[in-house]
Amino acid sequence: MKEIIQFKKGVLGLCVMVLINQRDRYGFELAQQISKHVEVAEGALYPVLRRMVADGHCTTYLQESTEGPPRKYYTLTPEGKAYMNELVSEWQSFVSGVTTLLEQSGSENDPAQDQSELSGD
Amino acid sequence: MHKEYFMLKLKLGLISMPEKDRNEILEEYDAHFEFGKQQGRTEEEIAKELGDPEELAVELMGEPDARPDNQQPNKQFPPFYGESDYSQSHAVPQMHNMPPYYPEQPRSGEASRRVFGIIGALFVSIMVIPLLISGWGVCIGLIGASLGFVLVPFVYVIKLSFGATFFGAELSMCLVAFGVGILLAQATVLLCRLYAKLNLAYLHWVANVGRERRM
Repeated sequence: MKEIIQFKKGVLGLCVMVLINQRDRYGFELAQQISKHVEVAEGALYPVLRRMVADGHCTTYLQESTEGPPRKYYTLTPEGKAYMNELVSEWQSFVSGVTTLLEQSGSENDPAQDQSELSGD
Repeated sequence: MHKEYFMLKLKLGLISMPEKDRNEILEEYDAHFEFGKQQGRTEEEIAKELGDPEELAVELMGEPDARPDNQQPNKQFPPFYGESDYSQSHAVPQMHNMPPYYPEQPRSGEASRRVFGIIGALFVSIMVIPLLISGWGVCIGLIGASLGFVLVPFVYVIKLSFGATFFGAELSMCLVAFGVGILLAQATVLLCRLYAKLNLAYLHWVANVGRERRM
C-alpha cells in the first residue's frame, strides 16, 4: 500500500506540470482534473505546488472571481517547461521499461489484480 | 471531518513554520474548501478527498526546499579567521529572507561544534594572548626608540646651553639620529596600526565563538 501512495505522489508533479502547461490553472481545478484520472489525496497537491514554486518551476498570480475567494493561478516558467519535458521523457522510458519487465514475467502474474487496484478502492 | 477541524489540525501540524508561510498554506486549503462547497460538496466530503491533515502537514514541513537549510548552517559556523565574521554579518539579512523550517534541528547539530569551537578558542587564547601582549611590548619599545632619536637634537641643544664645547661631528650625528627617529616613528605608527587590527580581529573571533554559544 505504501508503494502505491509513494509512486502516485511521485507522478503528481508531472501531472500538475502537464496540466499547467496546457493553460494556467488554480489549485482546486488541478485537484479536480487529476482526481478525474488518478485516485490521489487531493491535499497532496499543494505541497507539490509549493515545492514547484520554491524550485522556480512555477510562478503564481491571484485573480479575483465573481464568486468565492480569489483564485491562485499557477503558471510554468521556462525552466519549469524544460523540466517538464525532461520528466515526460523520463516517465515514458520508465513506463515502457516497467511494462516490458511486467510482460516478461506476465505468465506468473494475474493482470486482473493490477487492474482492480488502479480503478477500485 | 469538518472544515474547522481539518484546518485546526493542519495549523497545529505547521506550528513550527514561519507564520507567513503557514498562513499562505492555510489560505490555499481554505480556498479549496470554498471552491468545493460552490460545487455542492459538503465539508466532510472535501476533507476526505484532501486526505489526512497531519500527513499533509508533515509533507508541507518537510518539502519546502532544503536549499535554504543547506546554506544556513554553513553561514552559522563559528568563523575561524578574523575576516570571516564579515561574511557572517552578511548572512544575517539572508536568514530573515529565508527562515528555516526546522530551526531546532540545525542548531542542535551545531551545539557540539560550537562547544568545540569555544574549547579550541580557549586553548588558542592561552597561546596567543601572551604573544599578543609581548607584541605590544615590542611596539612600546619601538615608540620609545623613535622618541629617543627624535629628541636627540633637543637634548644636544640643552647640553650646549649648559656650556659644553661644540663639535661639528656631534651636531651631524644628532641630525642623523633625528632623521632616523622620524623614519622610525612613521614605521612604528604603521606597525602599531596593523598590529591593533590584528588584535581586534582576534578579539572579534573570540567574541563570536562566545556569542554563538549563547544563542
